[in-house]
Amino acid sequence: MQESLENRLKTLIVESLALEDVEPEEIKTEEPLFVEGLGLDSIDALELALAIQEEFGVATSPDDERNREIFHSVKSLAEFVRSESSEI
Amino acid sequence: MSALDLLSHAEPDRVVAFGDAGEKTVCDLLADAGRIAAALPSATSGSHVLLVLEHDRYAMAAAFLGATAAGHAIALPPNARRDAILGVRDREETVAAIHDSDAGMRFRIQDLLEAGESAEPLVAPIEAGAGVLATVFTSGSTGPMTAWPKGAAELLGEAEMQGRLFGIGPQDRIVGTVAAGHIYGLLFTVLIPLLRGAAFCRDTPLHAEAVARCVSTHEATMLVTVPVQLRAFAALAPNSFPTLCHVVSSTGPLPPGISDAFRERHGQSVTEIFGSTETGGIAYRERSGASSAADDLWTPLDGVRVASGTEGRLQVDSPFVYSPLVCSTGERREMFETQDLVQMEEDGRFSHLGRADGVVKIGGRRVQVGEVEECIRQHEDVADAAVVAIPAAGGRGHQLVAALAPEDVSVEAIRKVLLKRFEPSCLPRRMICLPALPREDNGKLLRTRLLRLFDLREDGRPINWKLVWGEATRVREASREIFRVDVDLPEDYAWFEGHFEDYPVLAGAAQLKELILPSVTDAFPELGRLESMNRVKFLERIVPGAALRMELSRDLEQARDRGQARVRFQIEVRGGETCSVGHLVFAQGESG
Repeated sequence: MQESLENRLKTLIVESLALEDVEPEEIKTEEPLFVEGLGLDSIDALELALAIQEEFGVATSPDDERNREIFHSVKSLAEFVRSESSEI
Repeated sequence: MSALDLLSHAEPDRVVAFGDAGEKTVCDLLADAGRIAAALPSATSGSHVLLVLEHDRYAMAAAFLGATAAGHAIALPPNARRDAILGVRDREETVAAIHDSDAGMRFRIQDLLEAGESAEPLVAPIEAGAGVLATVFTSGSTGPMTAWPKGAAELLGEAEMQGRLFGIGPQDRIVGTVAAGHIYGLLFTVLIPLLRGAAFCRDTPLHAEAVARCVSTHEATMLVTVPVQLRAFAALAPNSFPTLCHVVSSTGPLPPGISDAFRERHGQSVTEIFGSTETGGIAYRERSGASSAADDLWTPLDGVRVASGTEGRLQVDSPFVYSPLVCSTGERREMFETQDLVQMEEDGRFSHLGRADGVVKIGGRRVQVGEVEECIRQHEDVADAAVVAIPAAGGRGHQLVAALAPEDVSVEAIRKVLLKRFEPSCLPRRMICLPALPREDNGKLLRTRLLRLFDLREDGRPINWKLVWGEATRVREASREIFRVDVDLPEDYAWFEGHFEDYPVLAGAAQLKELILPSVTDAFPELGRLESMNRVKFLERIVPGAALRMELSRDLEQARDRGQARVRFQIEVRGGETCSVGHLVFAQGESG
């Protein structure tokens, strides 16, 4: 079975941000990624945006309000990648 | 110099601020500043107004002008964390706070600006001279913050000088991606535009696409940013910033790869400013892309004199350092000594070699490692703690890792306490809990031992335990079973370290433990324990980067009757000399 987009994103988060103490499966799909939850910060947001662009060819929104919604959780990220990418 | 001087180039209808929330003119700014000035309590000697304005840069400009015109100095906290804000608010000198948070403090900026009451437009001048115009706080090593006062001469003087350096004028429109509450942001995105008659963007975009859209929508000519964002900008489509004439980066060194990538992609060089809260701007550089050491050198700013002081610490004599901080003895003006280690060149330029204290920059934010450690140690569940900074990839620069004792400390609880005081980016990236920290008898904890806990080398890079194995093949020849496999040894393979200083070889014991015995288990899993070795010879050195071939040959006949199995091993450099050979005798396994 092909790995779900959500799981690919979790692996990408762990690898691109070098979160060495976190296993991808520990990240909850609907939990906030930033500050609470996984405790990521704005630098992580920029790093993650770069990694998503490389992996899926999808750029973040030109609107940062929208980016805050997109980067809220793995679930919202997956929805965004699905809507922007033709390959998924 | 007065508030009106700040706006002296301007006609009342000229636009000072633009953004998604609309434009503001000189006239609006003076009216809003007047409203703020009228709402504030009366000034007393040394009184400060705390500004926590993260959202609208125009609000910061109005509050700055309003507070200073009312005779107060402004206070800028080290970050926007609750403890830092309350720390500054609770100081005796702080008489009011203007903010855009939900903190429930008096003087929400929205209430002040939306009050709509007409107030006298601002006319009162900022008192020039020895008085303090702003106090900028840095977080201190033992808990309390350190206050760094700036007079009008230093703060506005630097804005004027930097504005001239970049040739900023009424034609310029400035977009900043750094908070206006950070001294670098205040200087470049509020004070310089006000002084030089340019306009600034009210918004602070974060993501690369949002920044590019903001710059192009508003036809900005100058981008004021930080290394971590420049890295993301360098990945945007080519020529994403066609209107820009100036790109400024500060708060940390920009890796050369990023400045080169940005220039190639967008046809614009980046000017880096080197400075600190204490000293203001010190030097600048604009890399040309030449891969020479000279390309990394910093040139002192106009009017700044630098020298190498105690053990190579950078000394600064600058009109932007608040003069009471610099003691004068006799004829000679003393220089302000920073904790930056530098090497001076004959032509007055210098290279930066790091910090002499425990301060590191994480994503452009200054962090005192000891302060984070102390904060963890003060938690009631913590018996011992050690924090260390290691270099990090990407735009982050450094990251922290922490080891705590005892084993059952809740990392979550520690994280919560730290978040009250530090920015999320400054929290230890990894926290491990142990029964006790591996301290020496004298109580010291060696950096090497601490890093080993995280599988890191002395230089902070991960210890590389991984060999690169090829596909194994297996053939049967007469009474022998032969197993061959290629294996490559990375340059930084962990076992090369610590054997002989500056002479990295793979020790015989390491060859047996890491190469030979695991392969025997792989090739002949049925064999029992290793009973003896004979005729083992290490003939040639195995060095970092070696591409090896290993052959294990099991004799299917010999020694069978004694319940033993013999395996001959041979390691050679592929297409080259033999490095080691020998015979291993195993107990014959159950199935054998």
